[in-house]
Amino acid sequence: MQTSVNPFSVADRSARGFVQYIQGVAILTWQVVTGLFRRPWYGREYILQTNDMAVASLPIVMMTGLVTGMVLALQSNISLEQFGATSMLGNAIIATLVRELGPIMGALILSGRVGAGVTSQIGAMRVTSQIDALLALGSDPVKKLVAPRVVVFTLLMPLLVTILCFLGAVGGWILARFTLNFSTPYYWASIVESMRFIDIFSSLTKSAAFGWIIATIGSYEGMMTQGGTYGVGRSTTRAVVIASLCILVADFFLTRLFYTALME
Amino acid sequence: MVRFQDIHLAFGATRVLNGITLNVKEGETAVILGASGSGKSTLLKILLGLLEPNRGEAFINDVSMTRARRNERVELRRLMGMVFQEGALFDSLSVRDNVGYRLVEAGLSEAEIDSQVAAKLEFVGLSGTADRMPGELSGGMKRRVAIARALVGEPRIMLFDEPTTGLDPIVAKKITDHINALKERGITSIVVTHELPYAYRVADTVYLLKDGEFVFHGDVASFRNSHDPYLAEFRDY
Repeated sequence: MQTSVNPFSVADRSARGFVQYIQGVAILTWQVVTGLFRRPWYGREYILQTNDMAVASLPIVMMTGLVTGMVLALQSNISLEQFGATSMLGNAIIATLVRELGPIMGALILSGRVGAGVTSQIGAMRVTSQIDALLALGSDPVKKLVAPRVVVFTLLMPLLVTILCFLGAVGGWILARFTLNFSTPYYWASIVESMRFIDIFSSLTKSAAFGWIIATIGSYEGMMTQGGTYGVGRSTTRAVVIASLCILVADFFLTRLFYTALME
Repeated sequence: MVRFQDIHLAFGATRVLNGITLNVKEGETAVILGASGSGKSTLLKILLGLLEPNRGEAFINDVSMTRARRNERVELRRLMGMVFQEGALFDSLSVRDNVGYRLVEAGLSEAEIDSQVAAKLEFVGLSGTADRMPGELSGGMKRRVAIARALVGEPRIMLFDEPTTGLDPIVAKKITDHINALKERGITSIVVTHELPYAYRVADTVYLLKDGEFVFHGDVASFRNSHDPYLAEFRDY
């Protein structure tokens, strides 16, 4: 026998689920913020997370930057040639990287590396009762596990994106110098000239927002994990997908915000 | 010392606990028996404030854990030590850091932490394991480290969730010896298990949980001699 599905009840459940999710993330963020002003401080956790989330991400960030810069140089040169504007290559590379590609590429790559790591670590602790054990020992899991991850990644994501953009410029230079025979001083001078405060500010702000999204969604999914090791896998996938979508949506709104500010 | 007052709990349409009332006196060891999934561990979680009942309250020294605020809950939890199923040791911390976790949080000096950790590990017969990681320990050793961790801070109430499940008889006997040693120190214990031989070794009072309700409450002798059909089936299976 076929069971009929009421589309309105499905929509209702989805809407409720969405609102509950937003509510859960908001409460978690509130707990993180209020927890920052209470003892104990867990300094060691912040150092560990700096190493795990930021330092260990450097190779992938550097590689992404270098390759993206090279590809960007190649693609931009083809387009600029059509208008006889190849001298603008440095400007095109740095503007694209700093304004858009650096933060978004960095965030999407790191939502896979860092976001998945956060969810699987916290999720595994949830399903093996280690979170309950923390509570039973009088500890606060949000302060101990979530706050260090969220704070560290929100603060260090702009630094990672800056490194990515710099390596992107280096990648662009490698291609411009050795394939397109660009002059090195001219390339770097055009890069420095085209840097604007609003671009750097918007890049750093976006990066911090994306860092917060990755760490918060990752932690929230980890804390909500149920159903053993299978549940950990499911939460990890959800965390990466949801964080990636949130990053894309946030990117649109932040870009629009900064673009409007620029126009005024 | 510990009191459950008319506890009701349901997960969706599934009723788990249906009017549980229980009173454990100071220094007493109460054993809660029941089939898997009967809600035994849930009772311990309610006592620790990890789960909210739909109705009823859990009291520790006449203070309601259920109604307690966040800070009060932390204080109440400090009166208790919990030994989780499988130990629930922190994977990323050494045995020393697991056992001394409460002391680090309390801001004690390294020397004080080392001394207290050594004493607790000696009590559970695991001296010399402080630098090992949980992944390097056997199931029985993990359970004993969990007991040592729960004992730090000198709790007056100990909660054991299936402390002997999955262990060989020799290790399981050691665990029950530790529970009895705690009884001699005047510590109140609640042990949740479905393993009768070990329950008989430690229990002052036995409770049998079925369909969310206690169907038996009494001492070990009455439990062993009861002619109730469910009890007999559970006991003699």
